[in-house]
Amino acid sequence: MIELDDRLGAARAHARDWARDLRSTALELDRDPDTVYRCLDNPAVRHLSTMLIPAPWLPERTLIGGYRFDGMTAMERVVFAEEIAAGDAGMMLASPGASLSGVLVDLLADQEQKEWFYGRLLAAPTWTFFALTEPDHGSDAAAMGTRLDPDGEGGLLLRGAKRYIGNGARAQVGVVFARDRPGPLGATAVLVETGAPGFKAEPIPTIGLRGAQLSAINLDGVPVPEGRVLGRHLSPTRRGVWSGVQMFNRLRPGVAAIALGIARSAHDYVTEQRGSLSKADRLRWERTGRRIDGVRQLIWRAAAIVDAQPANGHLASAAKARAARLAEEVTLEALEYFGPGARLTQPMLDKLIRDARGVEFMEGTGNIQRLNTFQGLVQGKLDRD
Amino acid sequence: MIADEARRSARTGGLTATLTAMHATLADRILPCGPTGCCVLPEPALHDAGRVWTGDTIAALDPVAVERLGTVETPDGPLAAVRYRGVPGPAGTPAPWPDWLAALAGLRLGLSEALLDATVAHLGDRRVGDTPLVLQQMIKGALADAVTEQIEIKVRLTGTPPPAGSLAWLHRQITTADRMLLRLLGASGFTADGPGAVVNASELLADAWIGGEEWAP
Repeated sequence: MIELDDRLGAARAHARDWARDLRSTALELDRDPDTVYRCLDNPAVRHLSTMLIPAPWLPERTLIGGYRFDGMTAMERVVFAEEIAAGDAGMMLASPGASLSGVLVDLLADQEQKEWFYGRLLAAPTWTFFALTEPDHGSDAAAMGTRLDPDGEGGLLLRGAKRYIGNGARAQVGVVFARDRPGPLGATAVLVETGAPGFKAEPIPTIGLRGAQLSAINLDGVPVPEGRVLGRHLSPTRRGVWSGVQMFNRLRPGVAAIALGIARSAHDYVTEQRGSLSKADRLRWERTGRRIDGVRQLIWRAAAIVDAQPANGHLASAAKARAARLAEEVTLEALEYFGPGARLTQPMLDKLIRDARGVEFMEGTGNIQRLNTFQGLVQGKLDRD
Repeated sequence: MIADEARRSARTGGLTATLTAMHATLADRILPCGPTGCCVLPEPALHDAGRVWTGDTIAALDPVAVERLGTVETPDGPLAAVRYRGVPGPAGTPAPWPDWLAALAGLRLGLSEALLDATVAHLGDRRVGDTPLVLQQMIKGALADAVTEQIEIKVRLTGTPPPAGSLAWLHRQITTADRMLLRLLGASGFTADGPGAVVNASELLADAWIGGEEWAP
């Protein structure tokens, strides 16, 4: 069994306190994603807005329980993510900050690009987006249709479309993946400003996780200076598929932790709202609590492995698939402790059920994760000794 | 409307039309509420209701006691969610509760079958490399699991309707089958104008009339 050290224990306790505040705005954010603009002073939102900005750019970061946290390890991210998502997964995804783009910038950007990117984030609350998925190809990078071509004057032009991009319509800056040459290594990531000519983003209404404001992005000849090509100082191999694999490995435990937070929130909700359970019901719900504890251990283990070996994301895949399924199962099971019509009369529970569905497709659906887990099995990377 | 009619109607005609037709088969423009008074119906079905199911029997409806809870959006129009807070009247005519739940299961199964049709079409259009997704072995297996679930539900709904206790389980099984299919649709099953919105409405219908199956007040 993994136990948190003092530093991560302090992170957990503080994030748990923050999460209580997030519950009070959760339904409002669900109705109106712009609610996030009024919550920028919330401690959780403030923390998220500076996560993934490394220490050299923010040496005087606010102390939390006597420690500084920058979100640069997967382990740290999962601890915060579970707690904040247990408050409101919608706000976790709605918050400004480096988010997914930050992991890629850390991995691929050169010094000048980092100064530009982190400088933007430090100047004001800044939303970022991460655009890989496409309308006709999903997240299949090999089939990607968005193109990055020379403009004939030393710069580049982006053309294509992206879909299901979190915060796309409210972001100021982000990362777009595009193809700059044929073949499996022909994928490149570039930093893009949403104010650039030809950039257009519109929200896509969703069933749940509405704070994330998933968006459709159209790129109609968006100019990209050569200096905004991430990994320009690296070989095409390392800035293409290699970086994508590393990045998703690092992110996946965090997504699993969001699912875990939703499951725990539903579990807490039943405990708080249905105080007088029969003995049989109480025992059944305690068993569910132990399942949640078990998946948490799996996620912590996956995060620790990714931090130690970023190329080994097989357990992270297993954890993500397991946690996404857990969130669906626990939120539906929670309904059984209330009478008929609970989805109509208990709006918070209804929201958790809708949110839980959304985690399934973040960072790859269950089937993709199962294939990754299988690869880990046959390659002997699952640490089954 | 019997379960199989509702299933066929929902598969081709959708949720709102089928629910409207189901409601039209009830006498006296009745408001069919679940055990806690919750009900989800197309807006026109709420108008002019004179009687109400409360618990197991039918009683006169007190219009003041109809509380509006909200709106359930679906791609073919919104449904109204209400809760009847009136006091149950003296024992009257028994409500046709098992028939309604069976028809509701038929409706939800028909929607689930339409979801399967849409999922197969979607996976046939999407390719990984040169192969349509629907021909990937793992996808084939997942579709086989979902259709097996649906066939089992259909068999149980055919002929004599199962008792109310079994219907609760069938409704849960329909939710399971729907969730299995939604996982194959990725984010396209999570948009408000897509097939996932129908699944959400379908789950809400089940919850209003038969949710919390192991719950006792």
